[in-house]
Amino acid sequence: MNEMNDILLEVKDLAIEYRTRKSLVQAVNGISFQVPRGSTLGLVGETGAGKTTTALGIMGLIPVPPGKVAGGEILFQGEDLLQKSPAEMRAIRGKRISMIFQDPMTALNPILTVGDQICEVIRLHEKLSKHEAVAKAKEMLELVGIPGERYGEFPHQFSGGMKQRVVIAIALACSPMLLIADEPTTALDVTIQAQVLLLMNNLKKELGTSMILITHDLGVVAETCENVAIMYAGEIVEMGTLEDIYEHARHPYTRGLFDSIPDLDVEQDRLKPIAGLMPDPSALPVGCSFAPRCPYRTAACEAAPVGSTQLSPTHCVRCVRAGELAGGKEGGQA
Amino acid sequence: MKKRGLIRQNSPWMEILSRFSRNKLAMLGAIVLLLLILSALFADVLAPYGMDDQDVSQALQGPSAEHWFGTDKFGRDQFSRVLYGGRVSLRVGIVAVAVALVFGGTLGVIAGYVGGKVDSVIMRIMDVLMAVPGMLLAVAIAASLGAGLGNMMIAIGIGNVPGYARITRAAVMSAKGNEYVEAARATGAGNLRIILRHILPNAIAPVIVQATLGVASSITACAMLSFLGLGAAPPTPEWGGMLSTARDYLRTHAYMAIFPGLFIMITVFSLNVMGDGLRDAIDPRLKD
Amino acid sequence: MGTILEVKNLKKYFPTPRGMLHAVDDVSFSLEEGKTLGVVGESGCGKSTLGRVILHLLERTEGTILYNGADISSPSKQELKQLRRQMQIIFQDPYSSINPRMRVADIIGEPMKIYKTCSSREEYDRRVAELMDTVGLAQRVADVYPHELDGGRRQRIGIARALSLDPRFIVCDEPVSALDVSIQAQILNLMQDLQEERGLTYIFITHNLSVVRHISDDICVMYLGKLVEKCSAKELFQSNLHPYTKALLSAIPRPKIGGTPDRIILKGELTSPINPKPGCRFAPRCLYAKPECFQREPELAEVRPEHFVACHRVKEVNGL
Repeated sequence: MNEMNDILLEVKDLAIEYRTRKSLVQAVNGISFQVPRGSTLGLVGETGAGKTTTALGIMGLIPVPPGKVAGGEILFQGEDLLQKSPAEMRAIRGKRISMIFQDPMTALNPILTVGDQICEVIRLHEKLSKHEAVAKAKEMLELVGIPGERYGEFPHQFSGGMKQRVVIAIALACSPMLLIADEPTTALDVTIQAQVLLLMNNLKKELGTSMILITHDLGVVAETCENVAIMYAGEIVEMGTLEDIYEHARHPYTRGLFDSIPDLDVEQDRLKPIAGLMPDPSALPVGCSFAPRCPYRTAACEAAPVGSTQLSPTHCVRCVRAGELAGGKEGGQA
Repeated sequence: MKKRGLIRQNSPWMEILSRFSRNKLAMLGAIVLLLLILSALFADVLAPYGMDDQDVSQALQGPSAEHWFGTDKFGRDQFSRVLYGGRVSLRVGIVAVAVALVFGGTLGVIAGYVGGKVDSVIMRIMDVLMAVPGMLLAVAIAASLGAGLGNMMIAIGIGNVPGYARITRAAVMSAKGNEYVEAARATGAGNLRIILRHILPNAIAPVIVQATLGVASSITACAMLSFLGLGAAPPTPEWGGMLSTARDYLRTHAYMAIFPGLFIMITVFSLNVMGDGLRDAIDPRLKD
Repeated sequence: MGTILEVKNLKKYFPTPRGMLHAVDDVSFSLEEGKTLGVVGESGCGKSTLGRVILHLLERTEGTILYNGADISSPSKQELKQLRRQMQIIFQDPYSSINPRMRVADIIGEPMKIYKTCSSREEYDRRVAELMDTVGLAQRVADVYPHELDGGRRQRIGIARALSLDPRFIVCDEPVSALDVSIQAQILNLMQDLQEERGLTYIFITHNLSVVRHISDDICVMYLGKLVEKCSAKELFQSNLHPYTKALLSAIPRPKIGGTPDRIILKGELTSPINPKPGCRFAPRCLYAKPECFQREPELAEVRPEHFVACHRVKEVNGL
């Protein structure tokens, strides 16, 4: 899997910052990851971890100013997206890379029919006649489980789950190679979420689309992703295959996340939350940014930035004590 | 956790003020306005002549070293009269807005907070008032009450009531929808407390903006009514009244109209940029 | 300990231009002092309305509410004010539920001012400081305005405000849904500690089943205004009986590899709660629906000891 042509997207040392009048916020702080063709990477983290900023960075949608890509490379099929002109990026967005946003309620234009909104994307990127585009749009609706006859209906005639299906249809209309889904099911009820996840998994298999799934829900990740990156304060603190993260997590933050979720199938008396709060992104600590909340911190953690340690070909972690904290996620907790 | 800035006691109002102070044009407006108010307040100190000091020998003189803005047909110093006139014009603007604010604001709060039938009745009455062009309404009220400064302020104020009622009602309704209002009710707070502590502080911002802009339009309205002869009685100087008098001399002595007109313009402009700045400071999202 | 709250045949309908919206329809349950009743359901099932009707933030359409055995269905203004000292609410949205123009200490202390529970300024200040300690807020934020604080700390303010009058009963309306998981766990632990220390009774409204299992003694499952299943938390997760509960539980993604049981994917989406058709409200999406389910509404019946289910086919579906 390390062969170059198998890697669809490679992000290297990406740094994105926002400058406000009072401060400099390092939203994304030198992150690197790869998305192999046909696979799904889960980007997991809490509010303010930099997940969405990373996605907007890949899409070339960081608002400048106040935002700024401060460094790094985003190699998509071997080409650096950061070197592309705005016009070139427009041609890529929606065609080769597309994005699904969290809130299906505001992602659709209320005064256009859903069919026309799908049609618009198709005609923007593909040389099709109006007639052919309409036929394709209907096909896309059917693909996401909406009868083609509903082409002429307006967004307000659809429920939340159906709207998200329309959003997915728009995103997939031009058969993108990479789909970035930002919390695609967070706004939906669980029974509807189950329907949408099933749909996304099936479409992914059918169309061979690679995906970056941004979420805070470790349950959703377990069902959809092959690889997982855990983000904290703008950095990837741990990354690996699903098994690496879910069975052999090494980073104290990753373990803390798992411990914070009440287990649905086992009774627990008390939860084990992570103490404290996220650091102020405009005043990150010198050393490991998780150190102030970490039960295992040492002087070394706070003294200097912590580099990434490769534990296996697939599993890397940013923790000084990664070696000592071995064992499954259960093992190290005592 | 070294969270800087937590201890700073930046209240939302202070933040608005600090955003406002960064808006150069709006600050210019505020400073000019302050100067105008000061010059009106200290007119008797600043003015070289009294407001009604006549000297027929000096009648209809153009601007000169003795009479910066020239003199009128009675030989009164126009510069002094413009300064004194500011007292009337600015007062009319502010009082008229205050009248509109008190009545319109109260009606708006009641309509927005109580809702239902009360809301419908109040707002239908406001709609009827609004259907009559504001200026026409003011003219009609001023004409029926008789000429004079006090009546003019009431007339302009009443003409503006529906506008303030609408804005206040909308702001109150949006503030009322917040959960903290429900939380206050759940803790047993009475209606008065809910309105004064929880709704008004969160609803007042757009009303303040509207009021700032309203002072400007009231000054114009006042100038207009005076121009029509429904305003301040002579010899009290007032910018609109001075314009009205200058009407007969426009071809020969244009300066008589230019200076009061300029002051109206400067005042209205300052108030408008200040109002805009205030709006941007209160709701920074609107700007970007 | 005795029953603190009892709700009988509670209904709340909202008139809409398209007809009557049945937000809460014939709901009955009772609640022991010091326990937590979880109310779960998806958006639009009426769970939040239920909480608000019990607190008289919305007026009921029909039904009875008993508090400590006394009928509080239609209290006088004076009675209501006294009730509110004992019954409080914690809201979902830590942003809209606290007034942005008030300082933290004023938000927490306001209820004490309304009821004049403190005889002096010193006592008031001391009480506010105690409350801040109790919920884990640093004293230095007392004079801060809420916009400088994150969601977790804002939620702590909401909890301190609810505690300020020493209530016995609190409706918690999705109190952790807007929070990140690591903060959510902190708040859940805090709420459990408070319950133990003060003997509080909670109604815990949420759509998050893993949270509800963790915190509740008993659980009610709601669907479109109706109670469909009611039993102890343990029983609900081990041997649930209603087809909707089964689908709901299976729909939750588990944070484990291969942790999710065989999923029941429901057809379609929520039907409208406006002028509901006769019959079981879940029938249009139910995998087991028979013609009779569309004709007659099922009653909530005790299928096992202390386990109530509203389903015509509960016996066949579960092989009982």
